[in-house]
Amino acid sequence: MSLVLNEEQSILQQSAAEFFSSVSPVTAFRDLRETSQAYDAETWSQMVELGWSSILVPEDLGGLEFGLTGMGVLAIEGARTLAKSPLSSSAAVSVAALNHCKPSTQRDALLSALASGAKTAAFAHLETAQFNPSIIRTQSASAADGFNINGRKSCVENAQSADVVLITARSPDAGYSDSNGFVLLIDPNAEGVESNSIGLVDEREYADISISDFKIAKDEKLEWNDGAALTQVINTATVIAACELYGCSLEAFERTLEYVKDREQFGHKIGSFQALQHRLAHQYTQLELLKTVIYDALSAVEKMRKDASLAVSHAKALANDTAKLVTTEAIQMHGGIGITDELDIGLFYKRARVLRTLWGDSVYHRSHFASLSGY
Amino acid sequence: MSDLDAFRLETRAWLEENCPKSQRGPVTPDGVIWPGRNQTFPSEDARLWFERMRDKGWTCPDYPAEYAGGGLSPAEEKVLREEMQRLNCCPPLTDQGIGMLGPALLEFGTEEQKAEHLPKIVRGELRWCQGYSEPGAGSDLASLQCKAEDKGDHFLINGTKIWTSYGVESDWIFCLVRTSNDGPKQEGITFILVDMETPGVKVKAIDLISGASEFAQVFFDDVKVPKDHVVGEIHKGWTVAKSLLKHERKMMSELSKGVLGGTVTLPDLAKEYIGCSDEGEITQPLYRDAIAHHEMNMRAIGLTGYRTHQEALARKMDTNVPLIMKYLGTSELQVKDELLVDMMGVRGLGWKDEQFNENEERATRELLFNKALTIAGGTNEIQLNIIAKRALGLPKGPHS
Repeated sequence: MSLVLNEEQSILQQSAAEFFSSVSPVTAFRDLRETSQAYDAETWSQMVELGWSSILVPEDLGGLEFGLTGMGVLAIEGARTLAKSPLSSSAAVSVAALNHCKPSTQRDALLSALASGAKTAAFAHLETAQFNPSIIRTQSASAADGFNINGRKSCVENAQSADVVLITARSPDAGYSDSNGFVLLIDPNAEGVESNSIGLVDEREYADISISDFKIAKDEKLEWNDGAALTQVINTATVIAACELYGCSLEAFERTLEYVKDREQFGHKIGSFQALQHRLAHQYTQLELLKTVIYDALSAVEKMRKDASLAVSHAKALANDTAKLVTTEAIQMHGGIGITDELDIGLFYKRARVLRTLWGDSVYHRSHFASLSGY
Repeated sequence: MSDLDAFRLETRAWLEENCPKSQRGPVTPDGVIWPGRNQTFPSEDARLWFERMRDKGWTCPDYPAEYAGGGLSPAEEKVLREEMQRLNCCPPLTDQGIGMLGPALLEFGTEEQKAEHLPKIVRGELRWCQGYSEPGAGSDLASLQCKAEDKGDHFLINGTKIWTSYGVESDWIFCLVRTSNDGPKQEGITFILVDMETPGVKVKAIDLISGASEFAQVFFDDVKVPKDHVVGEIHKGWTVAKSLLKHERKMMSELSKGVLGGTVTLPDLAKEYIGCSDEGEITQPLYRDAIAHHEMNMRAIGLTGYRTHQEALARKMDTNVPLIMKYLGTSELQVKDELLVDMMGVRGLGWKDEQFNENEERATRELLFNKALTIAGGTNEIQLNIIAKRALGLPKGPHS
């Protein structure tokens, strides 16, 4: 178990922090709000050049195989500037999904294309507004020369801007479990695939997808490697969301710390008041615990440790709770200016508010943690 | 095989051979082995275990061998601790001399003081207590008033110390006394060692809400103490005290580990008192959620302790992180205490009655006694002040 970044990971962290603050600061996020773009293509191509799209891709398919902790570090740093890119949805989660599929010409070609930046992908699994990863109603039935697909997917991140959507599905005659499910490769803009964008408070690209009687070729259906594959992909998505929550929280906290050291009322810096000091000190303790638990969960998923699901549920629950505490306190401590659109603080709250819901809230993850612990 | 691996195997074999079966498993309050002028043991096995460990210097494994200690390196000490945990060995000796005074003497003591006191700590010949707080000096410790007047070859001490753990049972006390009122209040304080058999020392037990009397008030009435009992420089005792407090807080942050002892866990007790489904799921979802929340926090605190260890090895230590451990560990322990008593219902509230079982008695006793943990060794509020100042660099306020 490694709870400290190694040299290579530390270097990646530093260059990521420099990249996001110079190339993709919060002003870039604000500029994109004025457009209909999911992200800035030029920024993404620079990230691809830095090798970030190939971090999880196997070496023999043109990737770096750098490991999930490296991807987590990028997610943390990117969240500190609210950077928009397909890094999480494509380079982390979709690549993880393909890594857990049995090798095939289609799969290998797509992984290479994702690594090189030629394509991006989105991962569509959840079907309900409330997080419930065990429900899969989307079906794929055998048809002439391929399969016939019916179903719907909820709130898929970066689906419309992606070249390919990876859709989880099951056979019509099978009750769903990981071992008999599979992944379908679908063009989100094809006829028969209806995608409706849904605007959430974090102003990113999400879409509900519904598919009716859509035909795909035989080789566009990929088989999971084994019965644990889907769980491992969900763990990847969940721990990356936890990383983004940590990044948002850390940034909101540090900005608040600067503010209370600067703002004066009653003739004193407000940061000298014990009423604020104790709350900030408590938040610091929670952020330090969160850092530990996130590094542990990243390493657990990366090494496919037996307790990976437990570590991930722990990380997401603590990330949710800490982000809730820190980003709401950040608004409160900024006072009136904290609820204006002019200041960035509210943007961190809104992003964290969405991430707290995506991939499971704290009640879900505490219950999951309890089940995995045998109570 | 590395030297450390060889040491591990050797240690494992030695412990298997030398730790009596009765000295393994959870320590009961009656089973603790204390030192003292007139040392007594809970059992003959306990004496044997103590004497074997003492002879290897492993009552104080990290003290230098020249002072009768184990002379182990930090890595070897960790191995010993892990191997003792593996067998669930009881501590062979428990005393405030070991973890608090000893390290302070090693850092600040004279050669004579080290040679005089350290071997006695290792061999359990004297029991030590701490005289810091006073009725008028709690969180604001530096305002202490217990006075030591310079009388040429000795100091004359007058005043009182309070919240002295095990004051009644102890033989010697290490104290902070005021030797000067000039300048900042921190700069007129001296750290001094006092034999409690000296004429003029009186001790009175303090009854607590838990029914125990682990604390005492110590009174000094014209107590003569030789000058060579001062540790560090005269008027510079605050430096010694701060270093020692770090050790105390570290000890307290580690208290939260394995308090129930043995194999009984909070989820086990929840199943027993609240009930569970055939699949073993606790039937009351709100208790289940609260328990998972607590277990997560304990896991996070434990892993964070491990992270600081890894950071230290990689020479990337964030020195602010240890500051948070006492606050987190003691607070979370109280969360558990309250949760456990809630779950037990009336069974968790027994007072002076024979009919409650060991877990129930323990739950009640710890609920009440552990209220001390967020007060002693620096209150939670003082801990948060320290974090605000050192880790966050927040400006000094009118009252902090």
